Amino acid sequence: MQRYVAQRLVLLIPVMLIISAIVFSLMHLIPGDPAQVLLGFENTDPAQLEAVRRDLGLDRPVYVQYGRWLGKLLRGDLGTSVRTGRPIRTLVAEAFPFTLELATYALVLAILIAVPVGTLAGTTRSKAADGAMQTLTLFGLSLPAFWVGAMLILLFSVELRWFPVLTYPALAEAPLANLRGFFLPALTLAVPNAASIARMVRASLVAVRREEYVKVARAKGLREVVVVRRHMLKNALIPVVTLIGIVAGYLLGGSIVVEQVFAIPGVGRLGLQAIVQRDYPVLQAVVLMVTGLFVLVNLVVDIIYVLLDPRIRYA
Amino acid sequence: MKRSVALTFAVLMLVFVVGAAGQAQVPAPQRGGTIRVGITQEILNLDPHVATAFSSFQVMDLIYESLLRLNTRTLQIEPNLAQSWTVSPDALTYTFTLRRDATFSDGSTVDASDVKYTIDRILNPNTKSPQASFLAPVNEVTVVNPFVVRFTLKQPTASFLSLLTGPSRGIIPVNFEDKIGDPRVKALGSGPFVLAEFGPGSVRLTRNDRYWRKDAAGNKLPYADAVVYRVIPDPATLRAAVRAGEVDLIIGFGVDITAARALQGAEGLRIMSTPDLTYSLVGINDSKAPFSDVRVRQALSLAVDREQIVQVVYGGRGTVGGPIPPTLEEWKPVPAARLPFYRRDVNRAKQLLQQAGQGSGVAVKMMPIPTVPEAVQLAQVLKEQLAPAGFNVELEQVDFATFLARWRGSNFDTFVSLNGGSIDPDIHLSRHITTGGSTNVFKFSSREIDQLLDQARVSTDSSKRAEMYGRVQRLIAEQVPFLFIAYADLFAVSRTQVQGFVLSSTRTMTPLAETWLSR
Repeated sequence: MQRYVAQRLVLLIPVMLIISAIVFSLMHLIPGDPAQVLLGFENTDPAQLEAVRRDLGLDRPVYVQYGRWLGKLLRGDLGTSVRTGRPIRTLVAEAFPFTLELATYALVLAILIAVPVGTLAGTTRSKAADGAMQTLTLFGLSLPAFWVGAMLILLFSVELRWFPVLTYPALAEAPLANLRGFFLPALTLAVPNAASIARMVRASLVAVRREEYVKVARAKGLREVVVVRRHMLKNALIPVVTLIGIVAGYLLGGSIVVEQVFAIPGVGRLGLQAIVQRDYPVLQAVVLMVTGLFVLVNLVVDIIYVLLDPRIRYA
Repeated sequence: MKRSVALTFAVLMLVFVVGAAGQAQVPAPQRGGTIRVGITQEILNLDPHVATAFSSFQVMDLIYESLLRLNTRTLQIEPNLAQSWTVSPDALTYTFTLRRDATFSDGSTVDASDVKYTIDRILNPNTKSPQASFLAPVNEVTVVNPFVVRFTLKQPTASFLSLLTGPSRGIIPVNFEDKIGDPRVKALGSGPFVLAEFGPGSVRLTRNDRYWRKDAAGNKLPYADAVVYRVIPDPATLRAAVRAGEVDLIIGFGVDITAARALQGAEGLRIMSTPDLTYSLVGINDSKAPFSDVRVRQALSLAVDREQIVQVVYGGRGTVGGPIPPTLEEWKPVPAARLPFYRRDVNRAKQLLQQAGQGSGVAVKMMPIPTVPEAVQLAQVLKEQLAPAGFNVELEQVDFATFLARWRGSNFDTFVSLNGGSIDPDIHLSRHITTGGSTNVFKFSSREIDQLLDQARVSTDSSKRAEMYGRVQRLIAEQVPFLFIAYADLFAVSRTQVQGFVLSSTRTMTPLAETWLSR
């Protein structure tokens, strides 16, 4: 097991290298560069553009630029943002807590919604109830986040004034205000994920419903609640954990749409800005971080697997 | 986007003044409080001479001050850090006397050496200031004594005073960078507020207790303790934020006719509007066939129904206009109705295309700037309007950096965008239209127009200048370097407790120094 984890961690390095090389080349393939964005619309002086390019090292071949970036990275230096001149370490450190909290909150909400809904749908004998749940989750999956977010703001913040818009105090300083402030964005982010997790819970419960051990449990005369909780869910949740892991990975990458709609200065917005501004080093840092987190979350899921299912062993 | 820099000797329309002022009886200002301003654009860089984003200027307006300023209502040039000035008879030497009570927020006095240091920094190629091209007429700045500074020019420049206004010409102290570090993230100016916090998605400014300006009653400015800018990228959320009272004022990109309509009649809000100097345009690549033929450009102009654009895209809140903004009466703007090729005439457009050998129709690619929602709408309307005349428009949706790269490289058939206007017609027109102008991405070249604009630039007789601009407008309308479409109204929305804010055509935030919150 330890060896397996160590192997996976070592594998992380080539994965991140390859991803960063791909992103680096893609950024340079599309038109526009940070020097042009820096100079804006004030003039078209080619000499000035060249001078800014030289300053930023953009006059060198792409592989040289990549090599330089990599060299700095190995020394633990993420560099500075081309556009704002701020250290990227600071930018990421400022943005990540927002995304981390949003992701955690959304994941918790999604699970709290999905597991009961999915369990009900997967165990009910009523076709109508199951159909209703299916339709509901289909809606949840289909509604676009920018619409859900805007509607939640209009209803709960503007009309009812139950939740503030755009107030995100630090969790440590004002826990209650923080949870209230993040509730609507977390809910917006949770809705589609809750829907997909609920569908997975239902499907897996339906699959285990006819298993022999469920029949045995029932034959023993166990109450239905116990059958579902102890015997069915325990087995049915294993594939669900995988899905939750993937969802967690995505959420940690930051949600561009939700962060835009709710004006949360998180990782998604940082990445989006970096793309719009062609701020290459910032984008590289964001991609690197997101890739790393994604792989790590998957590793954690694999480990949880072993704990949940004694049949699984990693050699 | 672009920033209007400017000067006027103009007497503006009364409507303009009243529209901006919002009169009635004014209660006594109350001190204190934090004014929260919602904007959509990310704040990236606070170096006054290097920044180009509009949001940067919105913040720097309150931190940095220039020698002169524009009256926010009348747009007249007024003394600021310079309290008076004289001009030599040959119009080549300007001598400014500085006020003695202005200090930077660190307590040091603003003196002549700071002014020289500032202009030298902008003009130094190492600064790579996009503003350098504006100050190109400056030959030298000399310190006469600590409070007198002299500018000598390479040639008479009628618009010169207007070039000394706005935060992009903001005066900084000698050895600025040594004093503060990186000016992109730190600041030190003489304005009413100082930079307190530059965090992700927000900037906090606090009162500069040393600020020199006072109101009419002799009270020290600014009234507010602090100003906070919150970046709210989504325009719908921005509107919700002002409705819910989370911000006090929303202004800038994303606050347009859509916002004004959505918030019309909402409780506790005040909607402000004023005519703009910024105009929408259709850029044309004049160096590339078929648009290198002036008849094709004229046909394009004739195929456009500008009135309908104002109605459909701007909800009737704007004015069809030509090369000179309709609000600048001093410069004799020719009404669009009297400019050649400005009234829609599809048949004549077809004839012109026929004569140009393009009778079978012209395929045109059109690239709207992605950061301005109206530009995309405008391009869609244009596609419909241009079709009957024989222009087959294909819209090209590109991202911002791509747009910039292609704009800069003149790599387009046509584009739709906004141009920041100016109250001085030379700054308003020359850099876009003269041969080799700093933003002449159209590759337009007309000797006649060049000569007229060059003459007008060096003429110090403002009535002669106005006469020349009268002529140049018609020439521009005939030669069609690009299409002037419309001057849309500018909007801002505030909570009703926000008092004393003036929405200016120059888009400046400086009135926040005189803004207060009633409690």
